Amino acid sequence: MARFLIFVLLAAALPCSADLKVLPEQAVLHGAREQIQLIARNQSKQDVTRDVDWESANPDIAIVDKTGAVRPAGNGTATITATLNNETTTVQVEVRNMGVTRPVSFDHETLPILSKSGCSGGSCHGAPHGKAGFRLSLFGGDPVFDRAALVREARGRRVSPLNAANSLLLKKPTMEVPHMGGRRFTTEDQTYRILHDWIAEGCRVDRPENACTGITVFPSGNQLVRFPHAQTQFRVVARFADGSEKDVTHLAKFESSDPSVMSVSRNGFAEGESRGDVAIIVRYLEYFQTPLITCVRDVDDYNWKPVAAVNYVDRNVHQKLQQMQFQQSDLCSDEVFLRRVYLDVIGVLPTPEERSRFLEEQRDDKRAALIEALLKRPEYARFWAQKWGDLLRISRRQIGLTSVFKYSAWLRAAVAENRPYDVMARQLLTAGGSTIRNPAGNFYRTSADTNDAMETSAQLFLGTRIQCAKCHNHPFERWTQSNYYGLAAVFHRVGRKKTVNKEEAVIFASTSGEVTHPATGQTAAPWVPASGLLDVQDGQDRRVAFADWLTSPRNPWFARVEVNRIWAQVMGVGIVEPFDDFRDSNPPSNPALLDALAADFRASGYDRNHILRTILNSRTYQSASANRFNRSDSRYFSHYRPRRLSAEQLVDALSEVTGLPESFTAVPAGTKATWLPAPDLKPHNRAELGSVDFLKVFGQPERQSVCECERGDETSLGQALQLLNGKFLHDRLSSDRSRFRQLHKQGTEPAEILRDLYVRAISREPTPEEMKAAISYFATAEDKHTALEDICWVIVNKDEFLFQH
Amino acid sequence: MIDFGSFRTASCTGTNRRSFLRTAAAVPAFAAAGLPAMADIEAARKRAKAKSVILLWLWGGPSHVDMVDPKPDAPDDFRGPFGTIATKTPGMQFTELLPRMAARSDRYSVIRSMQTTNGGHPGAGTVGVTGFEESPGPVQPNFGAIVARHRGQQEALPPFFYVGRGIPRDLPRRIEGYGGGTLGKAWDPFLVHCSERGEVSIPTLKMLPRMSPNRIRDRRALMKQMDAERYRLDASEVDRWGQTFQSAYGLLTSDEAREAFDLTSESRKTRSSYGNTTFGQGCLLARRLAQAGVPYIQVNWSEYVETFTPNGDFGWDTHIYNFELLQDRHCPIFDRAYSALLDDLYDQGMMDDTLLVAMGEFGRTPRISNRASREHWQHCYFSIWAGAGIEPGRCIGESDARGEYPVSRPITPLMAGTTIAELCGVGAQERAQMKVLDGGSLIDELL
Repeated sequence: MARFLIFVLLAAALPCSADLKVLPEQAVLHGAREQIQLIARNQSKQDVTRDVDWESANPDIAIVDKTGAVRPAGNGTATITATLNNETTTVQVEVRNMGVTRPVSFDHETLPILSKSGCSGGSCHGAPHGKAGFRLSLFGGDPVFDRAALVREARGRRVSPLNAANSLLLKKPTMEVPHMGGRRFTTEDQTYRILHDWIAEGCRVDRPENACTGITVFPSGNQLVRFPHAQTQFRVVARFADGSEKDVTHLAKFESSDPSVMSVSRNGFAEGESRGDVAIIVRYLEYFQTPLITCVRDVDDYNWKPVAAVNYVDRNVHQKLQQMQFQQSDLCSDEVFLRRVYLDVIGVLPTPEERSRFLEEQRDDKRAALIEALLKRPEYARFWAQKWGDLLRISRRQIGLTSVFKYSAWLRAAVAENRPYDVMARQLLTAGGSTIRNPAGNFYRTSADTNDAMETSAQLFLGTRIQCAKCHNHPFERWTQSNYYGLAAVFHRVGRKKTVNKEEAVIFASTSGEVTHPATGQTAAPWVPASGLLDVQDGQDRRVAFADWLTSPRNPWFARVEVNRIWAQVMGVGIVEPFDDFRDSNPPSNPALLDALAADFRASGYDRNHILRTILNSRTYQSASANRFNRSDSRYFSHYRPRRLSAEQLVDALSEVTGLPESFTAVPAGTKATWLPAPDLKPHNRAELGSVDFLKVFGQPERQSVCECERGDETSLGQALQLLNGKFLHDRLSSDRSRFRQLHKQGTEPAEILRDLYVRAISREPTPEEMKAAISYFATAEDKHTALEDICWVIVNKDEFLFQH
Repeated sequence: MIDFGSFRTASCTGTNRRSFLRTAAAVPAFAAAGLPAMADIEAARKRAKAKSVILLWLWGGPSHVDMVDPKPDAPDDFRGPFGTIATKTPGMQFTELLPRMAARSDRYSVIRSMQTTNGGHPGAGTVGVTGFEESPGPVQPNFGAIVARHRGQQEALPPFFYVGRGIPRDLPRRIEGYGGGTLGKAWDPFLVHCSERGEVSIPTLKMLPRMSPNRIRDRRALMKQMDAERYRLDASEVDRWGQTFQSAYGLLTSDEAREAFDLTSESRKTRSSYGNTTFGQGCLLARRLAQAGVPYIQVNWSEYVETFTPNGDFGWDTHIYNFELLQDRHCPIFDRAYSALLDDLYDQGMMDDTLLVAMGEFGRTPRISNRASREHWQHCYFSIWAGAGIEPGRCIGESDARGEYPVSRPITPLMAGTTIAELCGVGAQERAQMKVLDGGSLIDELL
């Protein structure tokens, strides 16, 4: 305490600048292996750690390098000076116990070092089977296992206490001996020193008496950094059970959620690369934090051009756009809006009649009125039930044809009557009885066992890919292996009984059955995230208790995940993206917007149509495509992002333009592709393997996984070939029953046919140039039918047709 | 990266412990010299020798002990019925099933210590062609997709071909690692089927009735005239589509593309030297594609190639009739086709810049099963490497006395992929940028 007072007095006496702050203001290093990371901030609280000149007045006591890392050299107190633009600040570093040997702690030093160096990462020795016969637990999650692996396996060749430098554990990562993983550190690094000492001390693996209780990361909280000074040095301090603290920056592992926005060095120095938001994942032992950093850049001649906000969606979007210095695009035209909103809400193109009616309408609120009308159309329920079918994996192969229809009809009804989302979720989760009578029970047929049901529910309703935690603690999430089995326990008592009907099962709640944690062998109690152990009444179905928790305000994910999914479905990209991957290390691009939508969703009684309506009416949704000030934005909704029509939309659109609908197996004539209840209505036929299916080529999902990512929206050569020389389109163009051939036969003027094609396909009239080119092609052609086919081909191959824009 | 210089294992004992230590001892001096980063890049550029890669993908798990790694001294229940023959590589023997290849072993190198992590076809298939397990995912790109992405879309021909009908699949499902993986579907392989008579069929390139390259050209011209600048969409997604569309257009309309597929322009002698088999003619097609500049061609001996039932059989997955099938069918076809391809690449002067690799996803149980066959065995199998600067005439790695486990350093599919990528000029830095082949190292013994 006396020493502390002297420090304070000394510090006060020194000429120190108020503008340049260095943290920590004082520090004590115990023994040779400790290290301290200093961080410097200027008056405007910008990080200047890498800009200041660091100097130690007593290099025989403590050494400071240009990154601000301080290492001990001898006992005593050293003054470290930071200088920036003639301003100086000093800190006192006291070094104690240099001569005293303190054994390296296996748990607190050796394992974190192996994790930091990447050795125990998922693609190296931390992989389920390890690498090259050497396996470690992922990120040192299982110290007992790692002890055996390091010390005893391979006949003890990995460590050689008598001659530490000769250990494979040191020779491999320094590439003294060939190492598949390349060089991880050099003999000069502190890392080397720690591992070396640990081995030389005899590889002591005693459990530490003083357990680590958590970490603090400095600077704490979220930050905003601005180019050209978009950088931050992190400092990590571990807290221990006895109340002591220790700088562990050199032992902690740093990772960036998006290195294209900000990269982070091995020692915790984050450097901006482009505008955006990023989470820096800081990990030490099982503790981790994810401070968020927003990188902004001043854009030349940027002036926010005010845009009238329609609702809270716009207010939140505009705020973020101003911060990131992007401009909102103009309002899109009525024609563009019409096509866009039809495709989004009911999945099909507007007819020429619907188009003219809308364009001629004089009301100011005609867009809102159109949205309202579309939400009432039966196609809306069919189209959105199909989206649900993707998520719920409805396929003939898994549940049989009858069940496909029953389950889809149940979903369609839910969408049509706008069943509150909490009610719908509860019906799915707690379904019981015959799956023929209560089709929601098929939820437990497509996910046929405990783990599948749990993983599916976690991904659907919590936006969490919990699968990783099945085998090990989730490396960068709060999920542990115990959590996985605790959540699985919720679904373990779901009984599935077969009946004489192959397509039927009876779902019931069993009263016994427990999940055993494979590592501890203990029974896992039902557990839910954020709230801990699930409160289950005696004799209560665990699923009911889970549904109660799921839909309660205690669960922060339920509403967020669903509004984000709705958002992604109409905006093309989620506020959290991938939109079903919620985690601390994958931050939302606009947290305020997500919160506002979620709050509104809850307040509305989980009214999905209300959220959809709010988004569709927003100025954000009705924006035109990119402009000069927002072309590079892909996350902040400054403009509408064109996206290719889905496989089903494309089939329907091509059918509509040519007037030749596609017919599908097992459904009534006139069924559109966007209404299909399952992708495999046609039974599997090996002989047809290798034949080309237009829908599949364009990304219709097989519905094998609950991840919406299964729906491919990428371009492939096969797709382009389908349009250039594929049977589906060719048959429609060359048929003599096509609408344009019929019109021609009836003597309709070519200009009129052309106009009809344009309006149907891309909801606009041809320009005079387009008209001229097409008419002259038609006029000079020998075969008028062929010419018309070619003209129609050109129209459906326009980007304007293939893309929703 | 470390070049072992004159370090060779000419005998089939592989990298034994002694030579391994010798190498290890040689390294510190080398490392201490402070190898600058430039030298790394230079080394990678020097290694970039392969203009094209032909991967003969022997799906199903060819039996290593019945082909290139016989164990004549193993007990009865391991050995199998085949005799052994000498090859041109001192100390390396094959079974009698591969006489033509044995006579050419000075032109390629064999790795006998391959090892993978998965024992099922779809899973091991993905590991075999991507280097990584499917789960937890995301599924990584096929080696071909990596090379294709590195070279970019070509003028007329796609950069990554699959020869053989369909994507290899086990009964329940396909090999997930067949294509672009994390690089995107744009780098999926382009499927081509080739019959045993050398008729190439590409369903998507077959002109439909009343269609012709000329008509497609006319339509494209009209499309340009009917373009309204005012309504053009400005977005990267649209640009990407435009590029893909252009490639497809090139493929359908260019003569160069069509010629590459035309096996009839080869002499009768050349064509028959490969064997009148689907796999043989597929190998010939692969050579033509390589000649036309395609960077990566994977020839699939999958369940649809060499089938003896109309709807597919089991490729090299010989759980039953292993010895009969290998003797009467698989090995003669493979021996002939591989040898012909090797000779042809030499005769055409393509060996220096074509990398030829043959491998499956795993080997087969050295212990004979109770069905008198062999089951899946992921702990030890083989691969064969030739061309593009691969040091030929060597036998790399060694399996134990029964062929069950490698006794030398196990070589993994990830290492195979890394070596392929490196030889194609995809250096460590570019691999890191693409986020592919993470943690992969080179098979130094090959170089």
